[in-house]
Amino acid sequence: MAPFIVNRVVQTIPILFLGTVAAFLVLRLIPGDPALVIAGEEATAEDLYAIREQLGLHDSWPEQYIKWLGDLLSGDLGYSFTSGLSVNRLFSINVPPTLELGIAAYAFAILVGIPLGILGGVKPRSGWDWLLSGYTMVAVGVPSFVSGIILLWIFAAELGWFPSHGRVSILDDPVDSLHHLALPVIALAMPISAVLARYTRTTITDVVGQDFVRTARAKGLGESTVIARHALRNSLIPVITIMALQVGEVLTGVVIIEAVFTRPGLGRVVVEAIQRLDYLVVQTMLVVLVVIFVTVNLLADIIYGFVDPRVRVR
Amino acid sequence: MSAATSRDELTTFRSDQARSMWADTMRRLLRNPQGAIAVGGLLIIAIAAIAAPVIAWHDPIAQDASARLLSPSWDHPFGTDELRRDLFSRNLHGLKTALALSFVSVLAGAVIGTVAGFTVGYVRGWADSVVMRLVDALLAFPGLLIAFAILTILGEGLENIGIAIVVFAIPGFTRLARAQMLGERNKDYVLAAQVLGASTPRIIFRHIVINALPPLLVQVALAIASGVLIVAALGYFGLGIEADTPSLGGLVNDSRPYLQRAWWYPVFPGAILAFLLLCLNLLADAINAAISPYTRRS
Repeated sequence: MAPFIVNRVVQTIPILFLGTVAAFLVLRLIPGDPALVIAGEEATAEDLYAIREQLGLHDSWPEQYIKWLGDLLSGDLGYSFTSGLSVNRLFSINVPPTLELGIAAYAFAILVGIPLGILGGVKPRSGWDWLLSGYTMVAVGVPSFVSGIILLWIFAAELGWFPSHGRVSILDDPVDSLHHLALPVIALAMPISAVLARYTRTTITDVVGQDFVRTARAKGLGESTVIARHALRNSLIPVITIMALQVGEVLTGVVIIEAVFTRPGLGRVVVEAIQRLDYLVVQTMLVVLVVIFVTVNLLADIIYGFVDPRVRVR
Repeated sequence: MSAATSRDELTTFRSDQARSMWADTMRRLLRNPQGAIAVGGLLIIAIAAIAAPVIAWHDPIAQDASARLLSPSWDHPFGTDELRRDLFSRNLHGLKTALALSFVSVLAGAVIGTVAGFTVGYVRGWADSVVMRLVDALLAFPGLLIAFAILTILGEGLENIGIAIVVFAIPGFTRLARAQMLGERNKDYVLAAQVLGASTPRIIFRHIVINALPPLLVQVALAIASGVLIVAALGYFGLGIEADTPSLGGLVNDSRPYLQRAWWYPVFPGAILAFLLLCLNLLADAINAAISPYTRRS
């Protein structure tokens, strides 16, 4: 197992490197002058020159890139072009709320989606299966910002059961934090749980129809053992693939849901940074996205290795 | 005389018994209740969208209703907004924009992505590696963020939203088409065509495509659904679409200050979006069932 993991980790290094190059280049392709955005329309040529000099925009692209990469590796993310805030500070303020929302929604989606999919898949056309189809039909169809607004209207505005905006750190006050998280998490998790439930149901139905499951039943194993030890383990690989893919949906959803529920977080940071051509912030965000994506895929690969020994030898 | 009769019989026999693969698939699709609902629902939506200027008798932009935030009535079936605009008309025009944009862009993306995927899947070698790494890189970024970035690079405007959706759609089709091609290219009928001296493009686009295409249709329905979601989300953020231009996402966002006073304001665009996405998802499922050899057997 160890050589397999090391091998996979080493494979990610060139991808991470390419990711930083891509993040750097994409921003240089955007027409528009960050110096002009900072100084305003009335700036003189000297002002613009001074600002560009300060930002290091007069250096050649390779020089700028190498300097940025060096800073990045040493953990210094630099300063935002427009607000002057240190990017480290911007991230340390905005990562925790986004992380809370993202992890809570992802966990909620898995806890709802996978069991529902298993129950529906094990007994097709049962009550559970109908519940599953009904739920997935609604949850896949309603975009998260629509369900967000409707939850906001019913449970925050009309009934007043939940707060309509803001965020409380889970470390300061866990109960109040969850109170603020409940509606955003449901809105964000619904479509994701529906996709998970659907794929789990499909793979479980396929596996349950196979010969080794009949063998397991024939040798007298209890139904729960048959499902948990035999059917589930063999249907995990495609389900893990979908779970990894859904992390991307969580990332998109976070941006939308933070706007709907006026929560602080990276979603707002990235939208504002793009609008203001804040190179450094957007560049760093893109790198963070690449790192998340690579890590998730790495984890998925390693989990495949645990679940299915055949993957390890390949 | 007898020769002519037997020839007639032969023709009759053929037209009764032999159907093309596509007609056969279409029949299975419509016989499936899911498929029938999806096709029917999408037809209604498409007609409503195309005929929006005719069906909606009020101007979507003119501020000419008798009062602000009127509840639904015969004259204003979906009510009016805070600027005395007719919401029925704004909803239908928003639907038209969303549908036209995502349909056209996804088809463009599907063609580009599929041709690229088939080609590299057939040719293999370095072109395959380069294209697939690019595809992996594109798939790494969530669709909405790709759209944000492209709108920043190209500026606002519906055509740029379209381009963003094309870029978003391409990699999915490339990956799927390549996988299909890898599954088909070593089969005997391809070898037969090669032995007969058919050119590479002819083998790809005449022989293999027919067999490799059906799963890509499922992807078309799913990609259009994603496209609609992206257009709606951009409308919600007010990115790329002018404030006056009606969009379904924009309507939901505009409704926020009036949630307690005007339920019809967020509910109708939300319901239209949900119905459209539901039909597209059902269609994807139904196409999948219609082309899958497993369900065909039963």
